[in-house]
Amino acid sequence: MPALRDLQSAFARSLLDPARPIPAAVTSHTARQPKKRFDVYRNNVYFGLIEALAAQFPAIARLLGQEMFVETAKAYIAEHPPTSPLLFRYGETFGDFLAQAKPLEDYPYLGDVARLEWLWMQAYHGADHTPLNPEELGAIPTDRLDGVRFDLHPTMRLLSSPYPIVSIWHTNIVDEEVTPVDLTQGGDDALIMRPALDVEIQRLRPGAMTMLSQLTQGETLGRASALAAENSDEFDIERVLTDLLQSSLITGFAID
Amino acid sequence: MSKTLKAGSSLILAGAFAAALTSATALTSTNAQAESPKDMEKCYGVSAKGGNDCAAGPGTTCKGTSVVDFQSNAWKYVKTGTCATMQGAGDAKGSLTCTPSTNEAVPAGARGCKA
Amino acid sequence: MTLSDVITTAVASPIPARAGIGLKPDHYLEIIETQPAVGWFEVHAENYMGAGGAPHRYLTKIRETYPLSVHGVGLSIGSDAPLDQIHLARLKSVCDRYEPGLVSEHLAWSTHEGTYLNDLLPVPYTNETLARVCEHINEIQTALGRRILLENPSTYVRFESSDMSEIEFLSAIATRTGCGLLLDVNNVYVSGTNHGYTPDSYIDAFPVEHVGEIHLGGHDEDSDETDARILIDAHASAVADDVWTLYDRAIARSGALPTLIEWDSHIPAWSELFAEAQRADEIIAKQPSDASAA
Repeated sequence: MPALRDLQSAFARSLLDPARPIPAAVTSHTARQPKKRFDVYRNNVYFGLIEALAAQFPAIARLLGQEMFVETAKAYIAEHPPTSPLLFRYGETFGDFLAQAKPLEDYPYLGDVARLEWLWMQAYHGADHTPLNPEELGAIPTDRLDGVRFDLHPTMRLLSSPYPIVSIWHTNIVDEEVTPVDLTQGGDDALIMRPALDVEIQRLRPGAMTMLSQLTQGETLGRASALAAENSDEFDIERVLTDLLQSSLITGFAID
Repeated sequence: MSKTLKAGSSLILAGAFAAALTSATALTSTNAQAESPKDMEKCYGVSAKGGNDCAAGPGTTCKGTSVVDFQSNAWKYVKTGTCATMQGAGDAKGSLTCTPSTNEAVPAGARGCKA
Repeated sequence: MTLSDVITTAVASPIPARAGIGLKPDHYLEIIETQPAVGWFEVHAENYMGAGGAPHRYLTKIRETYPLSVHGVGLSIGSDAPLDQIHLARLKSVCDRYEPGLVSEHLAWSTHEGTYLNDLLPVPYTNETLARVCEHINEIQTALGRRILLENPSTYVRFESSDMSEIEFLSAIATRTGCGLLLDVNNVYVSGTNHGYTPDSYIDAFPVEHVGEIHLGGHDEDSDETDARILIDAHASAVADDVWTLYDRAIARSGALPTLIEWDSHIPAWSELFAEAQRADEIIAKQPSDASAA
């Protein structure tokens, strides 16, 4: 009988569920069933993971306020403990959890703000890649632009929300006093990336989301911009391309 | 003003790309000048906090040892955060009161609701 | 396979028998700008297991100037279950990238059935655990191609099933696997207080010939239901005076050894951390320099 495995199973179960009695195998030189000593471990697990979530989701922490954030984080930890020893990978489903949490149902934008913060942290730790400079891009013959396919930066991610998540995120991250955001102002398409060392979050112009997701899927520039124009009357090809080039998003290209 | 693009209008694409390239080039050279060795944040980037460590949490009596039925209807959002500053989402403005559940033992400082 | 078979490369930049400091993002810039006279730095391996970005940029820069020690917190060596091979490969890639002078891990477990519990949990000191831990350490040393150091834990409970002492357990591991030991003096103080033995007797019995590094850190205090003291390994404050005294006793036995100041939460200003390291350096300087055991 593998006693070690059984002991660790019992220990792990009691650790995550404070309603359970402490494992029978645990003792101390004072109390025979040292609940308070075992609670040190329970507290370490929860405290450490709450801190980890607060570091991953600083805008959510501020939006909820400390007390509510702690309760929300505890509930999330109990239901979804981490599966990787890398804490910067913890919280991928926190956005889904917030979006479905009953006590937060009046704040439906929280889920997407959390998804945005998750993507921020993944870009922060993502792979480095040197973008092409404008001279290198200038080498593309103008009559071949239609058929060019771009490689976009590996840290780039896109997130579309019916809520103004970039505004909400921004004011909660940078402003000492939060600027009120009008939730009826419409949704944001967000671009998350780290071209060099700082993670950038941008609000995309109309149509840019379509164009970038098409380019990501390997579509040609001609086809991607045509689709963007079809999807959005406000699509401004020149401004979107300017944003694209200034963002240092392009790391390579191939011409059909 | 919006310039729309129909499928196959490669002239517009070429013009737009050339113009975009010009503005991007101008911006890139300005940025290059701004990056000096003195500006460490720029050279090395923001460093996120958090991460793994081998420290223990403080003490025996807080975060890991309370039981709260989070999904129960007893919980409503609390005032302490900035959520209330975001305006216009349905009931959001009016939902700032809440009733703490009674069957829990949340220590002071970790309670989600204040009357 | 013996340890000498697996050690293929000499350490590029050995850790000197001086004080080192646990590297925190809060101090990256100040360290790079002021190049303080610190013997070496230690990092938690897991924080440098991302693909790229600022953490690697800073650490690469700091590594150009200082020797580095890599301290893992996530391998779960004390688990009954097999080691996480993906995580072991990540540790290897951190070691390949930074060529640390020392690599260490904990006598603890933290992962169970796919859940990462984010704490260094205690193991019972039995022959069954000993066999499993030795298996895991052999596997790690083979994968990394080098010797590792194993740290004595701070613990809050005991197990009914333990039938040997912590020191017997650690000595047996070092003898069987050829690994070194990392003596955390604060952990000795914390565990001694928590389990009712005198920290001095633990230090006096510790197999110092296997020790390659010492840790010093701060602890918090609480009490159990019998009002007995419980010390918590919180790393949130300065090293306690009692722990400094215990360190004097340890290093008098071991001779000069690399000694780390650990401070993981409520991170102080760099100057305060640096002062702690200077205090350790003064104590190390009084020891015979050739007495280093490992």
